[in-house]
Amino acid sequence: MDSDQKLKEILDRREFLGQALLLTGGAVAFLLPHGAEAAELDVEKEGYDWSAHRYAYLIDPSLCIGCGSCVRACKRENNVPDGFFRTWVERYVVGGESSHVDSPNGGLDGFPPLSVGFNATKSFFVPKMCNHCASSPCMQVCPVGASFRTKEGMVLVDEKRCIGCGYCVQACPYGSRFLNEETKCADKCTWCYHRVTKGMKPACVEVCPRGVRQFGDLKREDDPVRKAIETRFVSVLQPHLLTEPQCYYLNLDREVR
Amino acid sequence: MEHARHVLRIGALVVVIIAGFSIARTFAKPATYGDYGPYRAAAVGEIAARAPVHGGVEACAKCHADKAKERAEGSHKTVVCEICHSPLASHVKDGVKVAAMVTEKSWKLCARCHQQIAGRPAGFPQQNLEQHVDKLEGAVCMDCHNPHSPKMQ
Repeated sequence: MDSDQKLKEILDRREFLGQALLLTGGAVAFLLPHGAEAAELDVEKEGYDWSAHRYAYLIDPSLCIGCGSCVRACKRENNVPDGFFRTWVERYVVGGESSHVDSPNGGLDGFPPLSVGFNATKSFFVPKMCNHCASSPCMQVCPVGASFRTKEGMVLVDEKRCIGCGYCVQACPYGSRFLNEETKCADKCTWCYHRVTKGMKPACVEVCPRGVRQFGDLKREDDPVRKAIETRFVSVLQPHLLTEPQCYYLNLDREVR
Repeated sequence: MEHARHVLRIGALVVVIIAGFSIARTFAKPATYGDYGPYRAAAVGEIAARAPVHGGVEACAKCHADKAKERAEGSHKTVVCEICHSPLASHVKDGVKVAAMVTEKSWKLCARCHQQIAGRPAGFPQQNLEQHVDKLEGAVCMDCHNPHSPKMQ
């Protein structure tokens, strides 16, 4: 009698443990992604295939005249608030013993004459912007999934998701992001995604009178930017940070960070 | 049976929690979130849908073919219209002129590129403006130079 009861108890326990396991398993299976087909993107509906491109940006500082046309075009194209910049131009004045960097109002109105207190041996302009890093710190720190990278390589901000916490602004080692007072969201260069998806060039590339800025597609074999990256001396800003920037600079001076 | 009831109770609790989480998630998660990664896929289309502001030289040439031709044949051939003039969207909407084109005509417009300053590459045409004109204040370069096709000096 005793052993019978014990046996029954064991069986019951097994039975119920088993059932509990089944229930949990079922619930987990229910919660797992259902493998549902991802909805077609709005951009793709207009005949644009976002997986057919892989964009890169090429900058040749030696050609830049510091006119600031790119900064003004960017501001107007993207309605960038005063005092903030999605792209800006820096001037480097370098001598043997010292160096000087300035960027008055981001280079928006060009650059004034400058006298430095040392013997300058070289001077040049360097346009800067978001590097659309392939391994971007800004995306990694976003707590709500508002910063993301498209298949073509653009790092974008979803203004409906962004809570304006500013983590990404601090995480970017290039200072490419800012908090937009109007939208209360993180704001940054999009490589003019709204233009590029319509077959146009980014506004800064469009207006550059010297061909300093070039925009290319690494998936196109005859692309001039791809060719330049493959055959000429290019570098990226702060390569030691391993962020894999996608803005390439031709013959960059060591003073530029 | 006493033990079985314990398991049942816990099991039921687990089911309620999971169901609650699942239902809450359906309402809290944006429709396209996670379709392509940890972001809202609809945002891609929303950003792409914005209207371009700059139209490019071809757009300007549709109405101003003469000026576009003059520019394309001169030394300002790489200077697109919208650098000195305003962006297309402030002048034309849906192919109809909505406002006059605002153009800065002071010497400062030209100085952005041609004033002699530190930083510009050697060989690019630059002027020491103080030496170039008697009085810089109120000077208008366009009084002597044609901006669409300036002569190289």
